[in-house]
Amino acid sequence: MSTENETMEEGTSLWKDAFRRLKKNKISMLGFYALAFLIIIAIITPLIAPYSYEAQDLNLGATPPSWKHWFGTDSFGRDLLTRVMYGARISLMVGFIATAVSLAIGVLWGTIAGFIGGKTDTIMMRIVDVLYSVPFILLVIVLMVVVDTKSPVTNLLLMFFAIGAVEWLTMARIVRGQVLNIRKQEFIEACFSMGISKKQIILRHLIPNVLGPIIVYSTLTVPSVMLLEAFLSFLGLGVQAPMSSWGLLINSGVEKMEEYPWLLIFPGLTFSLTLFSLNFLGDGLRDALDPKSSAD
Amino acid sequence: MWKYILKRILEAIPVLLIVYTITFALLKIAPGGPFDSEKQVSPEVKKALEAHYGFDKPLHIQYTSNLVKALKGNLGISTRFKGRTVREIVSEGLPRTLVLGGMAICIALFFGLLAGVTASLKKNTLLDYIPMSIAMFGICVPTFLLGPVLVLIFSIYLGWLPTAGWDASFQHKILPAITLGAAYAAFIARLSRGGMLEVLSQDYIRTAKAKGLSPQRVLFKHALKGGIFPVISFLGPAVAGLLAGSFVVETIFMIPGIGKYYVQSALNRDLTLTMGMTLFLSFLIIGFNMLSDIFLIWLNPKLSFSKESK
Repeated sequence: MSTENETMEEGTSLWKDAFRRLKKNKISMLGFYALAFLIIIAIITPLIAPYSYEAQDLNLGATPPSWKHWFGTDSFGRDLLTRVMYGARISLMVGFIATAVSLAIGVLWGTIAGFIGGKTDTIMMRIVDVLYSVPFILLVIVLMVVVDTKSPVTNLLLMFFAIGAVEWLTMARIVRGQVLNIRKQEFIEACFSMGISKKQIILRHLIPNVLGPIIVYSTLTVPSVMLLEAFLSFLGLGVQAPMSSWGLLINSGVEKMEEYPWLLIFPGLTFSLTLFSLNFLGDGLRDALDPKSSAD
Repeated sequence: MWKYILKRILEAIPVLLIVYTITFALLKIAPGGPFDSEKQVSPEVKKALEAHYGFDKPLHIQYTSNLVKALKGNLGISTRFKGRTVREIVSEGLPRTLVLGGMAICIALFFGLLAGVTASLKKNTLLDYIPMSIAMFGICVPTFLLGPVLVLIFSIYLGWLPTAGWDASFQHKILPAITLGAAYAAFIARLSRGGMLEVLSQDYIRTAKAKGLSPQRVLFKHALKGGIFPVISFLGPAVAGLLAGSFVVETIFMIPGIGKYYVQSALNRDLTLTMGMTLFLSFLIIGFNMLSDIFLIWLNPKLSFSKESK
């Protein structure tokens, strides 16, 4: 909340400029609207879902798309549209929460390293360098194998944590680079000379100024996290039934794709369109917020 | 140069140690031992098994003795496939995965560079927009979706290619290799387009053109060398992605490569096999990263300075 007010006070032109540029980018705006639509649908799914997501109708079985079931039904007679909608909740939640985790760790790490500088910076960034080379995807798989809690919710939380812990490294690097730059500028020095506390400087002056790259990178992290979740769920190592996520739906769609191709096509299409929207929005934001790009 | 190589090798050691330590720790905190399977075994048998696998010794001794064993290339024995060593399973699956990965990389490089370089030379024309839209498509359609869709179209509806399996024939390899390579082709197209655009706007290219060199000569002698730089630095990390992709592709197409064994071991909760393969795959990934970095420095020695100052 406070950041919104702050950007209004100090950087109106930058943010207005960025928004104006973003608005001109039609594909990005399309991505933005598609995403907003999806998020709203995901939030109100329990209210508007046409069927219950576990309601089976074995007499009906698998049926192709029809007026009654827009996306068709699976072999248990469950409505696919409803399952895709509930899957959206999990997939988007994984995307946003894991990104938030990586954001928190990365921004904190990068800001501290960049702000303190010197030996602390060297050591902290060395750690990031070393961790960068660790193939975390394998460790996440091992983690999901070892910690079999039998409780889907705990597994889900674990996955948020694991994915978030993997994705923070690039964020830390970006933030640290920005902070190093800004820290050298006069207005920060002015803050010091005015006797403003370090905490205040970091929270009120540093972080708002590195917000642009952070936002851009976050938008690009969300799709990669969602991909990771779907990848794990597809292999059977992520979200477990009876919960549903897009990766899981695609996985069960693949098993039956010869007889019932719609079980693969609709979840797959939804997932790809979401990734499209996020990537286009991220690209558009980068162009809009990157001061270098305004030169072209 | 040699100093840099030595430095990179020294840097890889803590990384491998971290991987080893994390996998070891995860193995030890795993609820239930590796022998708590469906079948109940008598306490004596369990004890004998634990002694056989060395699970009865104190933790720090297990830690170091396993490490020494791993360094000698002994990654342990599968607890589910009785009597099979991790090494056997790896050496059985790896050649297939390497063939698949190699084909995928070739496909990715060929189509990616073709699309990216063309797009950069014909910026803001249809020859730019169309390949780049396809590339965006390639990035947004994940491997585990592309594979089944390709099977659906080319194997089931058209009947041109086999749905799954792996033998000496070339037909069996086409779909898996395309599936695995597609995302990389897309990345390479974007990277090479960006790299080329940056190089093409530089003074030395203008000089080369002003000297009256033919466009082909400017392209192949001068621009390409700098333009594909981002692609080469992407290739090292791409190996990690290719391996992860091979988990999916080999599962979809039922190819008995290292990826399928790895996923299978994970789903079977065959802890020792998973650990051993994790170590091996990490070694592979870290090694490839190192090689691509060294290759980059070899191409452009100026980088070794900027890399160190970073």
